[in-house]
Amino acid sequence: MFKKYAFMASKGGVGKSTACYNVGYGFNKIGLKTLIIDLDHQNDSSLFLGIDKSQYSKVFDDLFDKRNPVKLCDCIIQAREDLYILPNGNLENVESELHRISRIDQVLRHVLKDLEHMDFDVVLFDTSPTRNKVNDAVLCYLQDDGGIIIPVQLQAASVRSIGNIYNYLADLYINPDIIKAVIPNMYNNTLESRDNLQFLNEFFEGQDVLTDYIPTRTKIAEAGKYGKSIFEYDEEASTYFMKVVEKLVSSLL
Amino acid sequence: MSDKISTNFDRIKESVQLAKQKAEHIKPQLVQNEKEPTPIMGIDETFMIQLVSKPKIEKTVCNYYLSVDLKNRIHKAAQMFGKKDSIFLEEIMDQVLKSLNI
Repeated sequence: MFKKYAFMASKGGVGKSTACYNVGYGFNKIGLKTLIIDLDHQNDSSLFLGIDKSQYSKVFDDLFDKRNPVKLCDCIIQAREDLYILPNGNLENVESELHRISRIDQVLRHVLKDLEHMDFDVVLFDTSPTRNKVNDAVLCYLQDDGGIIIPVQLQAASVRSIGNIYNYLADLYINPDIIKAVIPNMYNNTLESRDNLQFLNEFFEGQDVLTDYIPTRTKIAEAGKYGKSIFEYDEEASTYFMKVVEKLVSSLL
Repeated sequence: MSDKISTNFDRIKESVQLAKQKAEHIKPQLVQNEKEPTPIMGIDETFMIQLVSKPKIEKTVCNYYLSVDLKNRIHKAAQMFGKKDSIFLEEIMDQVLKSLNI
C-alpha cells in the first residue's frame, strides 16, 4: 500500500510546489516509485518537471467526467524513471463539480481507487494555497492514513499562516496530528530568519515534525525554470533537499 | 520601532499558538468517536422533516429558517461524527433523500 501526503500551506510563494517536486524527485532518486498529483491551479509541479501541456491530453479533471469516463492510468504521465505526474486542466471545473457532490469526504477515495492496483510507493499532492473544495477533499482523503507536509518560508507572514492551517483542520474536524512534517524554507542568515526558525523549533518541540531548513538559493528557483529538479541542476543546493528527503523517509515511510 | 516589530511578532506567535490549541481541542472528541460509534442522537422525526423540507439551504437563509435550537442540534450531531456541520448536513440530506426515493 502506498503512502500519501499533501504539501499544504495557506500562503502562496512559500515554496510548496518547489518542495513538492524536488522531494518527489528525491524519492524517485532513492528508488521509491512516486506519483505527484498536481492540484495547484498553476500546475507548477508539472511545469517545473519540464512537462508541457502538449505532452498530455487527459488530466485530473477528466476523472470527474461521467459522460466520458477515463481511466486513472490514462491521465498519469511519466516524468522521470520512477516519478510520475497527474496534472490538472482547469481546477475551477473540479471545484464546481465538488460543490454538487454530497460525499466530499469520499470523493477522492472513489476517483483515485485504481491507485490501489498500481505499484506506487508514495503519492504526493501539490495543493493550492486556498481553502477550497479540492483541498477539503484532499484533507478528507488523507485524514485516516495520510498526512500533510507544510513548507514554511522563514518570514513572519508565512509563520502566521501555520495558524490558518490549524484553523482549517479544526473547521473540518480533522485531527491536527495529520501534520506529519514541516519544512523551514528559504532560510537566509538574517535575524528575521533565525527568529522564525527558533519559533518553529519551540512551537513544534516534542513533535518530531521539523526537517532541516532549506536555504535561499537562486539555483533552486532556476532549476524549475529549466524544467529540472534541483538534483539534476545543482549539486550543492540538492544536498539540502536530500537531507529533507532522508528525514521524510525515516519518519514517514 | 524594534519594540513595535517585536510586539507584532509576539501577536503572530500567539495567534498560531491559539489556532493550534483550538485544533488540539477536538482530539479527545475524535478519539471518543472512534471508540464509540454513536447513533445520531438527538435527531428525531421532526428534525428530519425540518431538514427535508429545506433541501437547498444557503448559509444566510439557513440562519433565517433554522431555529437556534435546531442549529445547535445539527452542530452537536456533526461533532459526534467528527465532521464539519455543512459536510454532515450534506451527508444526512443525501441519506434522507435516498430513503424517500427523491
